[in-house]
Amino acid sequence: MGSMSRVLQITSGSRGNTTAAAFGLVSSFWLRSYSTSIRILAPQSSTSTSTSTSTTTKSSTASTTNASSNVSDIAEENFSKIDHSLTPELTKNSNGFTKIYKTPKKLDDFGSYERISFESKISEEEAKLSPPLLALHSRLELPSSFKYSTLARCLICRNKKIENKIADNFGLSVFGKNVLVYYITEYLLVNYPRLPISILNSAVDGYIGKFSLYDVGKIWGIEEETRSEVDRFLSDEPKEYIYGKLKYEPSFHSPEDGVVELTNNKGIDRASAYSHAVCAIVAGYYAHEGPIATKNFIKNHILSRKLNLSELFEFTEPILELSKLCKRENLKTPTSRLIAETGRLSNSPVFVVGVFSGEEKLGEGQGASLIEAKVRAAVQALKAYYLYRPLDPIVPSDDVHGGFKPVFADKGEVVI
Amino acid sequence: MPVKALSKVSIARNGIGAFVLPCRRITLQYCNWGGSSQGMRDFLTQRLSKIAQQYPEIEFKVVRKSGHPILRGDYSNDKDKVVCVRNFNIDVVENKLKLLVNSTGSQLKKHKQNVESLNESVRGIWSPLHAHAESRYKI
Amino acid sequence: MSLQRSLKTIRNNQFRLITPFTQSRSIALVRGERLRGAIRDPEEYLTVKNHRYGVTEDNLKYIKNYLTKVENGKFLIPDDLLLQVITHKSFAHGSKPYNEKLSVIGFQLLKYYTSFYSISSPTNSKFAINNLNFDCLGSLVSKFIIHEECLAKFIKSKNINQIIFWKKASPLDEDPRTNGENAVYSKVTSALVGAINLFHGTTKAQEFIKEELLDNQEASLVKTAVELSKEFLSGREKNKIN
Repeated sequence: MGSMSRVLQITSGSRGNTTAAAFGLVSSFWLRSYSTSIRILAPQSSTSTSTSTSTTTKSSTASTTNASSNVSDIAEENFSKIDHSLTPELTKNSNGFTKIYKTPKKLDDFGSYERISFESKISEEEAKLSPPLLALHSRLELPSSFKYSTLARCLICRNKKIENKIADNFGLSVFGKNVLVYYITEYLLVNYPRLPISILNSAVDGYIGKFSLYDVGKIWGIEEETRSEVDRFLSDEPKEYIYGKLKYEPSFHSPEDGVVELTNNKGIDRASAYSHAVCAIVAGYYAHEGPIATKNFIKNHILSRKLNLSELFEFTEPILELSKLCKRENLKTPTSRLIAETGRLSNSPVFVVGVFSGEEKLGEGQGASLIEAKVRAAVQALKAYYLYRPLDPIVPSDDVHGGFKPVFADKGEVVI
Repeated sequence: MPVKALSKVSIARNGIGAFVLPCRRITLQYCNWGGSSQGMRDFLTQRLSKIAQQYPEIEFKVVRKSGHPILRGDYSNDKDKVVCVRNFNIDVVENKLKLLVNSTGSQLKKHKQNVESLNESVRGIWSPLHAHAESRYKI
Repeated sequence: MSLQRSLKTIRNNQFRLITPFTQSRSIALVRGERLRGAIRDPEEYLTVKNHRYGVTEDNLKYIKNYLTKVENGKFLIPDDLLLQVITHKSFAHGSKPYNEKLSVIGFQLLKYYTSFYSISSPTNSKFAINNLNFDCLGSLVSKFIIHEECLAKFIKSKNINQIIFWKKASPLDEDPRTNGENAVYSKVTSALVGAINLFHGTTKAQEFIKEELLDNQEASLVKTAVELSKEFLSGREKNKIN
């Protein structure tokens, strides 16, 4: 077996014939091309002796999930005195403080900012060798201008414990989040101009919150790399294979079922890691394709999801709020009237109550008691107001296509 | 504040907007010696490269392991589907592979409703209390 | 509050009686000290620094002057929208159109556009993607650009803060960082951006941000952000010594 386990690189032109020829000979080889990604693994149970080529595949991978090394906590107390929520430039190491940005003398020279820890980045050639990465690129139907190296970088999350030596997705995910938040807010604000702020924020969170983007990342088929470095080393996997997987420093490990080991407070949870990766991919799209294509990408992948806005409301004082609203809008004071009822004396009565402003019916609700029906009617009336939708609205960022009309600006929600 | 917000996570509707193939990886396991893998070996040598080009969104992984040959699909919902293809000829193997490609990975279930939708009914629900007062049934 | 005390307060307060046509009884409108159950005189709560709320030239003169000067009024928006921009939610208990939602959309646009502005400045970084240096995001200056104080400073420098309809939470607090002044002013800035965005579209709003908020020398957000970061970092040095 020793001579058999070697790595062959087969170019796409002669793939068919060589595959057949190589098939009986080698136990482990790669097929690589721009569009296909086939991988043939060595037998799992085989005792393949490591030859010169297989050691290269096992050579130190570009690991980002660094195993914990000796980080001492000398500066712990000193560090905690400072409000470091505002100082992402600072991180803790054995020397006390370190800056994570190479800051230029002129602070506003943004082009010269660099992350200190970065030494290398994944090259385009390396990235092209990773089958999961190629498959992901193709699955998302990313344009050819979207480089594989960018996609690979999008899958590396920042490690706060030990800063990555390889370029990670931190800046990308920050930008991607900003882009996402703007387009989603714009969409919601123009389509539902009267949404109260709390509902608007909750709806934005429903579309691009941590758990929503986690779901998006899952549907995109992003896999996470959870194995330890040793396991990865032993798995006899080419180092490029990991580029197609999501890498992050988890905030806890689970050595066995039911046991959770909290390792450090600098890790992130799985959902955050996925959402960073998704945001970073959006930013990557922006970098390679520009804003209009990115907006379309967001529309197709995120705004196409279903979020029922009327389920987000929770009114504490619906009747009072409705009467305040009527007062503000110069409508007649709302009054509730019974429209229909059945089984008043039974154990399961039903009342239908309408809330009217003068002759106009604002809402209708039914309930097992008069109060319940009245409250439901007021809630329905308020939802009808807050969920107003203009016909064929055009969002402000669509003005590039021409025909832009000023968007309806709402007064704001009712204050009790 | 009078209006409080509840938090909800949006629901995926794959295919509205973008469609992302749920199948992310197919593992083809074969034995280099056993007769039951003959069809699979034929498939690997003759058709795999073409199929792989046809489905660039899927990662194909070939594993040599003694025993009967299997096809395994890994899906975006973290589930997998395994088909044993022992003694199957090359065409059946290809059909089984396409079955894996076209699957969502979710468990097969019997749908009891004719229509299942996330959206509210356009027509609304009939209410006896909104019938005309004269023809309304009174308790 | 007991009845006697209420009556006493009424006596001490100014009040006026009006008899509306639609109602059969007179309504007492109270001025001065807050009185439970009594209706406050709108003339009082709708007036800030002798400016009666309303779409008047007098109320809008500062913000309108500013917008008229910039590129021959390229970014001018209608008067009622302008009034909404300078009205905060705290004014008149939110009964008048206020700028909260305009400021939300404006702030998101600011955040998005300023981050684009910083990543797209010329770079030689080998980690840049398509000449966009994403590594500057998350740094102190890029975070401070959209900080409350920077945005408030813009409003002050353009003199728009002369007339803003808002109500201080505590009249005794003079520190703009805690009494809400900075928060309200920064909301006016972002609401102005938001209103331009909704009225003229994103292209023009981005031009406005770039020309007036970023490239403008006197009250540039970038310049203020740099000052703030320096101040912050020197504060950190002191902390380190302590």
